[in-house]
Amino acid sequence: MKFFAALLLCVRVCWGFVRENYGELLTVKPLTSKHVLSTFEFTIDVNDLHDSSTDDFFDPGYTIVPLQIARLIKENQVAEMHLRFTRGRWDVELWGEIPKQGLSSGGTGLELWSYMPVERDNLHWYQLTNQLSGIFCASLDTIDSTNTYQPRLPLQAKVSQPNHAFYFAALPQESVCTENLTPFLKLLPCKTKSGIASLINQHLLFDTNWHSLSLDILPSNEGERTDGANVITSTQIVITIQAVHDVERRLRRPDKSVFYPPEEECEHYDDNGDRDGEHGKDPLTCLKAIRSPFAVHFYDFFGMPPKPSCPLSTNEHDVLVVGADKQSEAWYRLSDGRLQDDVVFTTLQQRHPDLVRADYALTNYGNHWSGISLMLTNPQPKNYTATAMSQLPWFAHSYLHTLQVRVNDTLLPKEDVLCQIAYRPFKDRVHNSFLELQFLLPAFTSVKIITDFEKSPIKLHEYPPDANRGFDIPPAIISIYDNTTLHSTLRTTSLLLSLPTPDFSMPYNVIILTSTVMALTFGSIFNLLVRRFVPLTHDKT
Amino acid sequence: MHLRSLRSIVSTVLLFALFFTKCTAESTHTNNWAVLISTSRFWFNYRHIANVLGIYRSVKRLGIPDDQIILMLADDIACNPRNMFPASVFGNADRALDLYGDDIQVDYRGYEVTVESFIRLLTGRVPENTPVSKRLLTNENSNILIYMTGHGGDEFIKFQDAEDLSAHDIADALEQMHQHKRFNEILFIADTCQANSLYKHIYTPNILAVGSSEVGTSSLSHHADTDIGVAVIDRFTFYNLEFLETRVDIKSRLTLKDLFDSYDVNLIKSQPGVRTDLFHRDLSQVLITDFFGNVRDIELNAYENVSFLQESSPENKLTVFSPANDTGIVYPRATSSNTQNDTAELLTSSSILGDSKIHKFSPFLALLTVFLFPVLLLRSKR
Repeated sequence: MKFFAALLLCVRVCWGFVRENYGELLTVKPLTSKHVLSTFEFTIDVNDLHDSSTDDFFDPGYTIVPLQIARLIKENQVAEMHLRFTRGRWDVELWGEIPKQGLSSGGTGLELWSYMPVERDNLHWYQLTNQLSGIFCASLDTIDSTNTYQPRLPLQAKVSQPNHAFYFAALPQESVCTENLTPFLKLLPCKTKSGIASLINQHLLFDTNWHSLSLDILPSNEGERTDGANVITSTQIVITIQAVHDVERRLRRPDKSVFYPPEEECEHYDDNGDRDGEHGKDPLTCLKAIRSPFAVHFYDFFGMPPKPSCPLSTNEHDVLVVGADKQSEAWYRLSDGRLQDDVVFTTLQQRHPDLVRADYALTNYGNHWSGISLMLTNPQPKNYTATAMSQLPWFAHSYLHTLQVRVNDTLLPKEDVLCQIAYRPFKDRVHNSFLELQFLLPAFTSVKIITDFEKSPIKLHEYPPDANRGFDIPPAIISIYDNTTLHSTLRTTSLLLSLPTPDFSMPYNVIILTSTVMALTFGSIFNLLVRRFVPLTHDKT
Repeated sequence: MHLRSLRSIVSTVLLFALFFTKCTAESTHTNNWAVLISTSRFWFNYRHIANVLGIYRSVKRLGIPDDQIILMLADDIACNPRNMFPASVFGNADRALDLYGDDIQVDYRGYEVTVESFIRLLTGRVPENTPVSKRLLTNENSNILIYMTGHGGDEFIKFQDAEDLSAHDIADALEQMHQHKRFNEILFIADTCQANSLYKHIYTPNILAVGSSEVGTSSLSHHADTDIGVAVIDRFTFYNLEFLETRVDIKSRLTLKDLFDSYDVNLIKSQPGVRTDLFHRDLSQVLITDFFGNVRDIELNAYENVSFLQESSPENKLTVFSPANDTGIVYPRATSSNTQNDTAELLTSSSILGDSKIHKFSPFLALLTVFLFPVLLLRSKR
């Protein structure tokens, strides 16, 4: 089987029509005493995705590149795209830096970035979002003019093209479930039949503290063809599925449908019903952050039976397991059978207090005014520059003159801290307000940026069906630069804005009341005008 | 009357009868679609999602592929933070079967499930950019199963606790579908309180409607799961699924009459209703797989040294001739699974099987006969 796959690839290469390459890698890395990060990365390299000479995409001769994605890219002239589904919160203090500098995961919910030609009516952007919503079973078709934005502060595209710009939209309320995972797996050449994708189990993936599914289309202009600096010579389609597993919870529940409550490790009662520290376990054990590390066999951890490697993958190794010391690495191929004995370790607790952190909060004063505050803490001895992008829905009327900057809790004038501001004010029912800031983040400081906004009333039909839950505000996206090179990307949590809700039964009440009043009025007047009292005449016999 | 006129009258009547005869026993559909919708939001309506997913699973098992099922779930239950079993939805407290599975395609989710989107889906008037998986691409040979569950009342069904869909609107939407030739036959099932009132106003032919309870009564849930915390399935759907799962498979010849006869009012604890006046076939001849499955009748005959496909006979059977030494393989091959380009679909599409030619021309012939009849009458009177 593998021979035939290799032969097929050889034939393709020799013919020279299109060159595709596929590789996959699973990395399992311990983070803390209970948490393990697993990253499934599937990379497809192709060299003629943007080649305009092959316009007939019904027969491009792709064997590995998923035709849905190829067609999407060609039809909408997308040069670069990032689609991310994320749920959970990446705990920077416990788990360290977010993997891959935050470039393969997004903020809570759905995030879509697309580098495509700028159009006045955004025709191809809406076409792209609708096609993606059909493929990935997500509500991307709710992206309209209110939540679309073209970021202004320089965002480096991989290959910059003339008249292209980044389009961005975020849907923080989007839930991520099996129906979103299945389309990702169907795009893979080996699907779930073999290779590392056969280890993906949705019951495991969605029972995690943080999980992220992302599709990245990354162009590059290196290679043999050098007929122009801006010509895309090859494209990488990368699908990344990441999750942070709680190993203790995983071990507690081996069978996906049975639930066992946690062991009572912390209390022991003797026959009299009194707490007995002498005979029982040490009560401090459960309170201490440091616990003994867990160890579990590789296939028991994933809960799926072993399958062979994907024959189309050209990587030498499929799986990388990082040891408990976070340094030692063990490389495997799925089909060589050595993984049966491998053990996934967690590691001793190790806090990471020395990384840049971001916090996002609503400062709520009531039903009329509210505020939003973004705080960045830099505990490192290095100076950084940060770019923060945040948005507020159009019914949260934000006012730029209320922007305050506090450095280490002292109020400073804006000009001293902020280098650049790009602000798109809200327009009711047309677009949300977007604020981009570039500012300095000196060593050992925390910078807090606060804006006030006014909650404005919205029409009855614009409330969602569960109006009392509130509205989601997308997370703020912060890029940390170390002298113009990107150091990392941070995302805060999303926020829930509660708007005062009206009485939804009022339309019914008004209709009933006015109808009653009108009926009574009309009826009375009509009777008064028309009804005549005629005396009865008797026949006197 | 003259003998000549009598003869001509009789001949025209016979001509009439001939062109209007339609084979009513066998089904005349070539493809199957399903529209499965749960209209309730919030965790305590877990059972409505479980209802729909149970039907979804049965329908997939009996052959309808994901591309031809429109699944509308008004809330995310499987990955809800309240769900103790993430990515699982169970329809039974024994939790033996995960209805969510690992290959599910939810076409309309969350806030997208509204009265407007449902009516637009049925009538085909969807917004311009709507992706293909969100459209009901049926034609006049499609049998559609429409299954609705949620909270309802007298002549309405509640969508997401915010709006209602009335029985009049359902009837009008179905009539629009009929006018635009978007279906061959529809089986409309509603599992809500007072569900029988939902089909009261339908006035379109070829629709069979089933409701779970009479006007003024409620449909009850079956049982609850103490770990999940809420009721997990409704009674009407539970007994329907029991019938489908234990007695119906892809080769089954059980009919809808068998299904409706199996309803036990003492177990369902409500009075299910069936509306058959608009449906022109006898229920004892309508197969369950005519609506719940995607089954085509195939006859495999042995024939010496010949191998070709033949155009269907008026009974819409596909006759495959194969060399004599072939072992007979019973169709259908249509199974649910990755359905990007399901080749089985090509065989069931209307382009190959098509309509029986007589039916296509019958309106013309009817008109011709109508004009001929007075001419013949006049001639005979001379």
